[in-house]
Amino acid sequence: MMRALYSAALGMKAQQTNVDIISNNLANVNTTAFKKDKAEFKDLLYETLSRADVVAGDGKPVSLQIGHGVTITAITKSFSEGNLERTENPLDLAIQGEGFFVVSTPNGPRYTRDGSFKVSNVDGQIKLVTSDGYPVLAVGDTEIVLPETAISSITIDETGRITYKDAEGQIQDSGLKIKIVKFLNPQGLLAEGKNLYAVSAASGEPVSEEETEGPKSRILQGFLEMSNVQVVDEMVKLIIAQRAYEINSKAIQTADDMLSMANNLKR
Amino acid sequence: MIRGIYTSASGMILNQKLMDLTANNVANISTTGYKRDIAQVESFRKMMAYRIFDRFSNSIDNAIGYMSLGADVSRIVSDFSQGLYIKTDEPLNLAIRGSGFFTVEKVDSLTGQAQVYYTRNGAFTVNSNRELVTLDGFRVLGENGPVVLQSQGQIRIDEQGNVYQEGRLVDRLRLVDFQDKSLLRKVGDNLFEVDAQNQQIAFSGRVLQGYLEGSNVNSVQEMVNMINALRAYEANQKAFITQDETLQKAVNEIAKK
Repeated sequence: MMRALYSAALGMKAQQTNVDIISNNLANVNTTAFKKDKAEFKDLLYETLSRADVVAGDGKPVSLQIGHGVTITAITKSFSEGNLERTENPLDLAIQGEGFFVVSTPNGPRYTRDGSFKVSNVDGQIKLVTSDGYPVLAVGDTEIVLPETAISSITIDETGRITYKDAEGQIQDSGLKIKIVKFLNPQGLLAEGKNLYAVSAASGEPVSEEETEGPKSRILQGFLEMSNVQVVDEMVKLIIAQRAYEINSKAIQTADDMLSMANNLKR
Repeated sequence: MIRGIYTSASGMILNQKLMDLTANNVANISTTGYKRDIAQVESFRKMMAYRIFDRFSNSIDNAIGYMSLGADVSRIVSDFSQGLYIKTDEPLNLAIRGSGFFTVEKVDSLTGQAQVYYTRNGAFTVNSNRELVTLDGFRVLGENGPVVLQSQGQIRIDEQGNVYQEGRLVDRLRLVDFQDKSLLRKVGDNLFEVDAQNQQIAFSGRVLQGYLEGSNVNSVQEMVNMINALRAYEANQKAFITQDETLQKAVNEIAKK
């Protein structure tokens, strides 16, 4: 009896976490380059009430097993690409492909697909930074420092090479190339908030696309990658989660009713 | 008298077990690849009731008839019917259409020994050793042991379970099926265990890439099972109380006169 109570309670708990995840997806429906999360469930241990045995003619071929409910085993991120939105802003970059930008934070390098970059002017040094002010790194892990005239005429090609026009209107190569890295298992990355990801043992080390063979990501200037959350999908998931929560609460009620009947046996 | 009390109690215990089972099904309504459990109920072995002392009968055949003293769950079997397909578009999400299982290898953290299990949950990912793994980190097996992927390249998995990367065949998933699926045992973590005697047969299903198989728990069915268990429990409780009241009369009132 108590088992039914616990199993159904675990069902409610798992669905609650599921709703938390769906709400977070919906809250980030307009977050640049947000990647949606999905809960994955698994069943828990089974208790063997009676073991299978093989006595001829009389043996039970199958054990009698009752499960102990459910848990969320993983929350997976879907790294499918979000829609691209044209912004016409030369400092907005979107990545087509599996790559990530590298930004330098006080806690070490972090990775992002949010390419809504800005320029910061500190002590006369003009740097390409993220919206939170973290410097964006170029190949060779250097910060991207540009001359003052470059801001209005910056051009970034598909490979990430940065060129600009100097005071005379001549096109100059800055010699800088935006660093793009890939991960073997992007699902293993740790989401840190602020659109940033940190590397973990599960994700594998970042591999610079510059130094490896194989298909490369393309950088699109004047575009931003939108969130890959689909509102309709999330609404459907929300409804299913609510109903699943409800039926689990019904199971708790039923188990409780049965318990109270058992308690009323002795009057 | 006492006998009836035990019979009613066994009915209550039975319905408790049925409720435990239903609660577990309902809890796993969102579990990928979950197969719902069904209980088969059996009455206790019937016994023959005899007249013990019958001076009017010379026959040895003085049986009154058969009676059974309750019921219990005799088997719990999984219903292997297909769950619904959920489109995810993730390249490492696989569903099996038709009968069959993926083979995975779980390493015991205490003994370090690997054991083979079977699952219908095809939500896979890649670990940092480039091995195809389940979300619990169990290695997915191919025909040549664990499936190890290249570090780059699009993964395509065809209906037969062949894993291609950039057009090159990496491995074929070890897909199996069993003669008698009722002998599969659930061990948690969405895994099934199989006895060595169980005959493996050729896989006849198809693999769908970009889909997951949902749980085959039907909420209406489970709701009905729940109501049934509750009402049967209630009826047994009433029978129990009635018998107790009769017993009370026998004990307390007969001697008063």
